[in-house]
Amino acid sequence: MDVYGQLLIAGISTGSIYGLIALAFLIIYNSTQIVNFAQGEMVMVGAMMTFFGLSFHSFSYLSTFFIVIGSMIVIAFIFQHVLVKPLQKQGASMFSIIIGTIALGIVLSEGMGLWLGKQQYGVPPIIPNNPISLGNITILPQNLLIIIISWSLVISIWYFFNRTMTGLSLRAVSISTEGAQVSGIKISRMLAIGFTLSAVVSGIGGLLIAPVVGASPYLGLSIAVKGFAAAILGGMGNIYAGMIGGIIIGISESFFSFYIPSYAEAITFTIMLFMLVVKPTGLFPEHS
Amino acid sequence: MRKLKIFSLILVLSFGLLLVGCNSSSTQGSSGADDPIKVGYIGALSGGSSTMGVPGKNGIQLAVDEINADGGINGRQIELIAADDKADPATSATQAQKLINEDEVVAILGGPNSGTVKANSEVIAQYGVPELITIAMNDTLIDPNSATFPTTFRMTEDNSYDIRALAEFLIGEGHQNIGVIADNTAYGQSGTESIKKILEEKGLNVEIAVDHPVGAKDLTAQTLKLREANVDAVYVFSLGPEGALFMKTLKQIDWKVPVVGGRGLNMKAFVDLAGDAADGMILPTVINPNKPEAKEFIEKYDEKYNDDPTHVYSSLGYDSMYLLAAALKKSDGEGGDALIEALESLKDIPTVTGGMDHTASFTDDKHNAVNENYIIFNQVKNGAFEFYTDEVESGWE
Amino acid sequence: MLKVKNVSAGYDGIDVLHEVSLNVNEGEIVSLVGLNGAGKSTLLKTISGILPAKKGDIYFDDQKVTNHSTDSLVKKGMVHVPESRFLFPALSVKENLLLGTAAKDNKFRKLKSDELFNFVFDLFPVLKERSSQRAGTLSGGEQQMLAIGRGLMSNPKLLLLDEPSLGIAPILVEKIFESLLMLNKEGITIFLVEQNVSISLDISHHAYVLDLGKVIMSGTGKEVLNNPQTQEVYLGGF
Repeated sequence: MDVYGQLLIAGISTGSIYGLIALAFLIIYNSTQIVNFAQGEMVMVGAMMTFFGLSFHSFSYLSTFFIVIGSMIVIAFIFQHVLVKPLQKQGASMFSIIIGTIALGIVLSEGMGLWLGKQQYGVPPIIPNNPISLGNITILPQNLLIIIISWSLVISIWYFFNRTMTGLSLRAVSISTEGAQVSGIKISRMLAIGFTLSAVVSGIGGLLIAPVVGASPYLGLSIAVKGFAAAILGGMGNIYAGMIGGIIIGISESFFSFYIPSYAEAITFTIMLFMLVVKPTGLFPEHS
Repeated sequence: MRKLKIFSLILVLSFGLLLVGCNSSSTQGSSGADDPIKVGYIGALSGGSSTMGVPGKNGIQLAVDEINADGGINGRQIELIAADDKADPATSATQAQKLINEDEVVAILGGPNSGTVKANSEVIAQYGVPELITIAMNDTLIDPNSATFPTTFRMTEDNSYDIRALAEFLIGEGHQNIGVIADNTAYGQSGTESIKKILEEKGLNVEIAVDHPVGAKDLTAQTLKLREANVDAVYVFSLGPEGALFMKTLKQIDWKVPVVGGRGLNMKAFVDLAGDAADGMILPTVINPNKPEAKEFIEKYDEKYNDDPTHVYSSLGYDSMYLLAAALKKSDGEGGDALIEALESLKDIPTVTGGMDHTASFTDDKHNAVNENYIIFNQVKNGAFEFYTDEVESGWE
Repeated sequence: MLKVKNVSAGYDGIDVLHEVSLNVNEGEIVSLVGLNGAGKSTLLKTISGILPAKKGDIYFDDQKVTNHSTDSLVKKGMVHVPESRFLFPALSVKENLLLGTAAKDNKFRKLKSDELFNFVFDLFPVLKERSSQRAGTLSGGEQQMLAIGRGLMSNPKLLLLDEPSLGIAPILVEKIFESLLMLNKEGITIFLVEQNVSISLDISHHAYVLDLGKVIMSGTGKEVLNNPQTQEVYLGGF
C-alpha cells in the first residue's frame, strides 16, 4: 500500500470539508460583506439535527436529510430577519452585525445543548464502514462520499452563480446594491436566497461530518477555524477558491502529521500566516 | 440607541443561555441539628465532558435518595448541591469557593475531569473541607507529597492502575512492541508518559507514541506511522470520537493489530461512531455485569435515568456517595477534621463497582479507596461493550 | 403617465424637496433643470422608490405608487438610470444587460436570444462589439450607454435619466441624446435630469426648473430655454 496516496486521499477528504465550510462562509461574505462567525455553529446544527434524525428518532437518511435542510432554512430565516435585518434597519455598522453573528453562534450552541443535551453523540455512517480499494490505496465510503458531495456542491453552486438568473442577480447584489436595486432586483429576496444557500451548504457539511467526528453543541469552532483559514488562503473575494484553500490545508495537515507530527497544525497555520503577509488577497484573488 | 438596545438584548440573551444550567439551586442558612447535611458536587454538567459529569451526578443523587429514604445520616437528610464547572479549571475553583462559603457544604464530591479536580482541590484544601473524587483518574490528584493530600480522597482507581493491568494483559498475550496514540492535551500527554513509564518497567517496549489535536477529523497519518513502526499492539489513550476515528482508520487500511484502550472510551458515542470497526478492542471498566450488586444498581439506575449505557460514571458517583455517607455517619454529620478522620477510618465498605466482593478502604496514608480486585476488562463486540474477563492481573502495587 | 403631487423628501430629517408637483405626459420628453443641490437627483430617487417620500403622492399610470419598492416599479415599467450608473464592473456587458431583465423573472437561457438584446445592440452597436468585455473596462460614454441599455432590457414605458451627459466626451453626448430621441419615437416616455441645459431643453416637450427643493418655473422646453432668468443662471447669460 502506498503511504503517499493514503495521506493524499485523507488530506483531500478533510480538505473538502474545510472547503465546504469556506464555500458557505464566502457565499455570505460575497453577497453582504458580513463575516459570519456563526458559520461553524450552522455546521453544528446540521450535525446535531443529523443525530436528532438518525439516532434520536431512527429516521432514514433521506428523512434526516430533509430535517437538516428544513432546520437550515429556519436558521437562515432567523439569521436574516432576527439578526441582520433589524440591525441594518437601525443603521448598525458592519462591526455590530459581525459581533451579532458571534452572539447568534453562542445562542445556537447553548440552545441546541439545552434541547438535545450538551454531550458528544455518535452518529452512524451513511454507508457501512467497509473500505473501498482504489488501486493500492483504500478509502472509507463515508470519506469518498464527503469528497463527491463537496465537489458536486461546489460545481452546482458555480453553475447557480454563473448560469442562472437568480445566481447572477445575487452576484449583482454583492457588487452593487444600488445597481441591483435600479435593475429591478429584489434585494431582500436575494439576501434570503444567499443566506439559505449558505446555511444549507453548512447543514450538509454537518450531515457529512457527523459520522466522522460525532455531534456535539460545541463542535462549531474547531470546524469554523479551518473553514475561515481555507477561505483566507484561497482568497476572500472568490467563492470557489475556498475549496482549493481547504484542500491545500487538508493535504498539508495530513502530510505534516506524518512527517513532523506534533507541529502539523502549527505549521499549517504558519503557512497561512505567511500567505496572508505575502499575498493578502489569497491565492486566487479574482473577483468571481 | 435602539440598535444598541437590540444588540445588548442579543448579548444578554446569549449570556443568559450560557448561565442556564450553570447553577442549581443554592439555599442559604446555617446548619442546625435538624437541617439537612449539605454535600456539594462539582463536575461538567455541560460541554463534552457532561457525558461523564451528568451520569456521575445522577448516580450520586440516586444514592442520596436511597440514604434519605432509609433515615438519612443519623436522622438528618442529605441535600446534594451540584455545580457545573463546564470542564473549566477556573470555573471549578470558583464553584468550590461558592459551595463552601455560600452553601456551607460539609464535603465535596469531585467530578470527571482531572484538570478541574486539580484546580478545585487546591481551593477546597485551604478550607480544610474533605473532597472525595468520583471519576477523575490522574495519578497526581492523590499525592502524599502534595499540600492537598490531607483533604483529598478518591473512589475510583487511578490511571496507573489501569495501565499496569493492561500491561499485564499485553504481556499475557505475548506482545512486546507497543504503540501509543493520545491527544495532544495535558490529559493525553501525561497519559502517554505514564504508559511509557509503566510499560517499560514491566519490560515492554513502547516503540512509538503519536498524538493528534482534539476534534481531529482525520487520523490517517498517525495510523500509518504506527503501522510503519511495526508494533505488536496499540494502546489508545484518546477519547471517544478520536478513538473511534482511529479504529475506523485501522479498518480502512486493513491493519489487523490488537488494540487496548483507556477507560475513557467506555461511552456510547465511541461505539456509535466506530460501528463494528472497534470490534475486538479490550478496555478496562469498573462495573462487572455478573456481580449481583452491580446488576441491581444497573436496573435501578436505568429505570430512573438511563443516560449512561456503560454505567461507569453513574456507578462511581453512587459508590462515592455511599462511601461519604458511611464517614458522615461516623462523624455524626460533622465536616472538617472530624469527617477526614472518619473517612480515614473507613474499612471494607462494599461497592457496586469493582470485582466480586470488592470493598473500599482508606487509611491515613492511603487515600485511594480501591483494592487489588477492582477493574475488569470489556471487549467491543458488534459495536457494543461486552464483559470479557474479571480475571485481571492486579494493577495494585 | 407620471404625476408627482406635493412631494417632500430628504435625508436624515432634513427635507431637500418641499412639496414638489409635476406631470410627465405619455410620449413626452420632460426635463428637470436646476443648480447643483437643487434636489433633482433626490426627486428621481423618490419617484423610483429608492428614497421614501415623507409627504405627498406619486402616481404612475394613474396608479398610486408612493413608496413602492424599486423592483416593483421596474416591473410596472418605470426604470431609473442613476447619475452614478451603478453598473456591475466585474460582470460582462452581456451579463449587465441580462440583469436588467431581473424584475421579469425570466429564464436565463431563453433571455440570451431575447429580442430586447437586439434592440439595445441596434441602438448602441458598440455594446455588441464589447458584449463579453467587463463593464469596468468601458469608457465613460460606453458605460452610460450600458446603463441606459440595462434599463431598456426591462422594456420600460418610462425612463428616469439622471445626468446622462456627465463626464462624457461631447461627441458621445450628442450620440446619446440622438438615441434618446429615437427611444422617444419608439414610444418611451423620458423624464430627464440634466446639467447640460441647452441640449436637454432643446429636445424636451416640457421642462421644470427646480431651485432649493421647489419648482420655480415650468413650461415648454423652448419657453424655459428662452426665459431670461434661465438664460442668466444656467447659460452664463448670453
